[in-house]
Amino acid sequence: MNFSNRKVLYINLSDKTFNVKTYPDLHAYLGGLALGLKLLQMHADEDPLIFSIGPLNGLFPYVSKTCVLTGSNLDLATESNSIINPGRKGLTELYLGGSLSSRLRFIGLDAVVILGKSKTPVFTEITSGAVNFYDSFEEFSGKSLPGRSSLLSFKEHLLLDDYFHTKDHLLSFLFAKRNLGGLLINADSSFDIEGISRYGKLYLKLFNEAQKLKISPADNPSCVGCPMGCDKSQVGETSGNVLVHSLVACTYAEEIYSDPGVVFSCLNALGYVYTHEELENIPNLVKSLMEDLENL
Amino acid sequence: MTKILKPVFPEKCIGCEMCVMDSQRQLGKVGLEGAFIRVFREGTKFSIVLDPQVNTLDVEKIRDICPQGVYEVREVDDYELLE
Repeated sequence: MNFSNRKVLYINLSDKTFNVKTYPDLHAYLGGLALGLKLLQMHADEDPLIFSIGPLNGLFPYVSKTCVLTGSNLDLATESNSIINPGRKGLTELYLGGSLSSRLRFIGLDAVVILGKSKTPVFTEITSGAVNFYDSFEEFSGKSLPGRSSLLSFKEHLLLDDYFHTKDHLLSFLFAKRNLGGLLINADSSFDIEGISRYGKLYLKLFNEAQKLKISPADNPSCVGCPMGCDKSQVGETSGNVLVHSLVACTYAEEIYSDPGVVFSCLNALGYVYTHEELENIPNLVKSLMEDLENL
Repeated sequence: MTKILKPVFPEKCIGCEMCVMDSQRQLGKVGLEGAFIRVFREGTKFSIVLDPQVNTLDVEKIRDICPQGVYEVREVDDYELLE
């Protein structure tokens, strides 16, 4: 793994094409919220739908969310008769649990940017080497790799893994307006971590800090990487601590992951090179990007 | 005697995959490729498939990391493994 680069998959639904871009210059945009906002800024004229994860997703406990961003807040406010993130004009920020962030990590992507609109309903499969487009759900759903996939598909609304969804089912609107009938991610990669012993010790230390979470254990379907099975994770959050959402950790693990010292240790154990100053500057970076987006 | 991992209460599984990740860490890697434990989703229910090679790992650690007590560790004679 190259820990400095950001790897982004672009999918254009209008002409059913895709390409992967590697950005060595987005190191400062730690992941999740910060990276997603930067990509939104870069593609503001193309009405992108962005899924982005942080460097700890899939690799540390309770870091189980995916950041979903789009610039079409005003359309949504009209369609769903609700206003999301009031004050953040032209921006919808959602977080989704389940298996999605883990599968994005283990397919080697930091973000997926969906552009355009299909003329007819299309079902999209992402694998480690390709993106495949299908016309029928039957053909598409049979492509799932058992134990390795993450599936966003419509029941009454759009659900992830048949259970998780976003506030007010807003992601349903965002998929429907693009004629995107479903998204399947088949992750089949593994990678080595230098100093696995140190990483493993830190993992278990944080795993054993479950008492710091703002939720209680239950027996609901759990997000991958979180042992809590809580009754809060079915509906993802919409806002919260900037550093936590750049990682992208669960908002209920804020006490653990809002501590720059903990984050620094986690990043360091994985081989990322960030300074304390860079981590402490993430909220300013995010604020600046949000202000830019509001002025576009 | 050999220690083996048994998913005795698979119906309790909540799909967190802590067991998958722990077994992969024991192999010195992270990810899903070549995992000795697979957690299959069927709607909101889960089932677990173990590769027998999982028993070459520290199975007690895997048992203990499961928040739902899905696994048991059993000691069996080597000839029972062959059966």
